[in-house]
Amino acid sequence: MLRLRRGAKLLALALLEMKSRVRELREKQGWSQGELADLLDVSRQTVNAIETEKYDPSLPLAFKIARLFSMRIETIFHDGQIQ
Amino acid sequence: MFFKNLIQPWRKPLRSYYIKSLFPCALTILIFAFGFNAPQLLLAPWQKLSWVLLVLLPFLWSCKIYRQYLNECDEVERRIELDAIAIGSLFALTSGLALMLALATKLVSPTAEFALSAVLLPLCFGYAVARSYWLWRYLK
Repeated sequence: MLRLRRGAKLLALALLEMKSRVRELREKQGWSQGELADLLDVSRQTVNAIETEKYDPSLPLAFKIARLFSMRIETIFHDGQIQ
Repeated sequence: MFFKNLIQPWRKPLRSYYIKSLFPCALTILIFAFGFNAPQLLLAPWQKLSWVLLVLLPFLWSCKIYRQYLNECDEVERRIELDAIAIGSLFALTSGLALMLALATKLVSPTAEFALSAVLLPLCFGYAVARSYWLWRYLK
């Protein structure tokens, strides 16, 4: 039973989807995707992929984004789980 | 929309990759053209061997430039490139295997050019299709 519960917990963790607030924050600043991409020194498809949650950014890029918006990483990216 | 997404302004790494790739490409064309158009100059085995090895030089040079480009790419671009290369290689491997089996069963007796195109064309086709698809997918 304990094993089953542990397995279910692991599966739930694997199925967790990262949520990002990048689009909302970018729009608040009035930047286009291209402008944000230039500020982060990445391509526009990277910004779009992060905004549409098709791609989870690496830790360095997540830090870069957080620093740009002067926020903590966990404020911008979260896994949808209520602490 | 599909084409609009594909046509993006080139970022600096891609631009510099294309410019740098022109030189090894031109060199490859020159070496190939020389070998195929002046075979009378390649008589001795050492001359033929050096021509064969000479073709590898621009190829290795291209690999070095491509690797440099991959290092300069951002994470999504790198992912797209590696996925496209993997799909292209898979196509080339499948086509190469099919060609090998066709040779083994004496179904075809290809020339060097045919064998080269049987591997190179699927590689380029697979790479182009996969790259276009991923670019479109990440920009959609």
